[in-house]
Amino acid sequence: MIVLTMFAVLLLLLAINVPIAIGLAVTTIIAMVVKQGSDFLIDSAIVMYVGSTNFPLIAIPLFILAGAIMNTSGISRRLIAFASALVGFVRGGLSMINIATSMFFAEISGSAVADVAALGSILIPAMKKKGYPAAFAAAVTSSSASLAVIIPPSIPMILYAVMAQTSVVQLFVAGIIPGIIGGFGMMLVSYVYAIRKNFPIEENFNLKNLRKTGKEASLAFVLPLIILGGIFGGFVTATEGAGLAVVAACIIGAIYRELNFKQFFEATIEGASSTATVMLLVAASVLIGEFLTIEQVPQNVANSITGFTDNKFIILALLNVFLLIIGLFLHSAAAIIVVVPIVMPLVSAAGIDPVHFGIIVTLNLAIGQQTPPVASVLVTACSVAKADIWEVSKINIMFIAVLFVVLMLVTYVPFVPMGLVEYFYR
Amino acid sequence: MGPIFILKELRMENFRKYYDLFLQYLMFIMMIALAAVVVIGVIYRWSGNALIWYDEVASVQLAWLTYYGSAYAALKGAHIGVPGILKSFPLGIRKGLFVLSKVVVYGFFALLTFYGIIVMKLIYGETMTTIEWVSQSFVQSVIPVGSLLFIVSETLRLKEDYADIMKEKQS
Repeated sequence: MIVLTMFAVLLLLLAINVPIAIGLAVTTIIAMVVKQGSDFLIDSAIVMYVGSTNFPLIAIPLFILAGAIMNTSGISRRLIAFASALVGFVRGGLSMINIATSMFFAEISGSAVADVAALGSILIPAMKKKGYPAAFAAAVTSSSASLAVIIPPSIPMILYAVMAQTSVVQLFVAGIIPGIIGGFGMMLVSYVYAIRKNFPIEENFNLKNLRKTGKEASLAFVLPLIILGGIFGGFVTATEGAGLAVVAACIIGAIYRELNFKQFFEATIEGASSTATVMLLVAASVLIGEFLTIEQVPQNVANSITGFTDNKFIILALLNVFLLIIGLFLHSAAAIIVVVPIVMPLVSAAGIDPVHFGIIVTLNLAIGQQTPPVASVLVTACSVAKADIWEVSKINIMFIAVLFVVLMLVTYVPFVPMGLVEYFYR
Repeated sequence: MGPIFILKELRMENFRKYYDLFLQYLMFIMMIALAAVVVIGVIYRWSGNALIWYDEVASVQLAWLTYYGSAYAALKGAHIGVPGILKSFPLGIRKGLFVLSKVVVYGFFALLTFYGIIVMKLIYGETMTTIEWVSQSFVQSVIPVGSLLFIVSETLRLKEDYADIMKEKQS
């Protein structure tokens, strides 16, 4: 009874626009004080502190900082030039360049919103200038930016690894193949659409130009090799890899001599702010976690669903539907923090690998970033393109369909995400 | 609009400007310091002389970034919420619910400030495990101080938030 009342209070607080982190903390404090008395109030101050000291999550601000340095050091421009030389000869070249650059960029940055801001501000105006509809430019930028959370490093994966107590490195590896499939799927859809709408090509294929732009952007390729090579090779942890990414980004910024301090300062502040909002949620989630454990909510959820079916595939389908609905209304960090601790006992009871499930969660939330009403990445792209969100969404459906196909592949063909993990780590 | 009111508004604007700048520089320094500590930690570990204080200090830095950053995010209205539902209520109800939501936020951080101070008193004399000259009271002061700053940020944004909630058309 107390759990249901608590969820009702939480929903009420969210409905009146209390920030989710504060809503979670307040409902938990009320429930715990009702159950245990006012002594819990002192505990709540302690838990809110301890919850914010989670060492593996240090990777989040560091990857954001590395991305901020890269964005302001001329790397986006070089990546775009290289992608243009590589795929610009295909019809609808700029949309191809957009997707290809997002795929490269995803290996540096872990945040889709950061990708839209960095690449969209260059590519969307360029696409509009070449006669692409603003809605299409926003749709392709928005959906391809979501590859950032699937292709490592990925901030939602770091959060998931902490909440589900699983290996972040294995999650990173599991994201590679689905991310590549998603990227190429989007390119295919974009190509078909470009032929139908007769979009222009960018430039003829020229090996010399490819080599020249490739050389100029080569440092951008070295960076993911250092970061991911270090993490995957076991030389550094994800947090240390994020620290190295910051150093590497500074060195590249110094070599390119294009580091703009004002932009860097602003991007760093922006990064600190998004880190803090996520971390406040994490701290509140530790508080609610204590309550859920005492009330055995996750176990009860697992028992009631496994009592109804123990078929792994049906449970996966139920979890997918649940996550897709949650993704419509919650920011991805909030969704992971609220949902993962509750469903993990069910996931292990159904015999689902936590790394496999992590990729399923990430893909669902990547779709959630594209589906209104709460769609952080889509909203950012629309604001850069000055396009109406519903017009963009109409076109975006075809890209969301690609992400959905990848989700189904990942869910029901476990080899897709787990093949590399099995080969390297098990 | 009398001259005293205008003067007050100007002072408030000035205060907000400097407060915003103060938080921005604080955030910037904290982000750079966190990256520096992690990088120094990696270098020392590779050189075979792992720093014993590395994990503990970096974790404390993350906590400080969380609460001081939260105060900044509050000033910018950047905390993750679901504003759409409130905006779909009729204006009269919206006003009441807006007040209620702010009472919840203020109440929570007032509570955290109060109990954060009690915790500081309780742990008086304790020090960090790896750096014994740094007191835990200082480290955990981030809870009451960060909470107070959150309240200040919320207050500075109050007018803006109210205007934002009330301006949207009922859908």
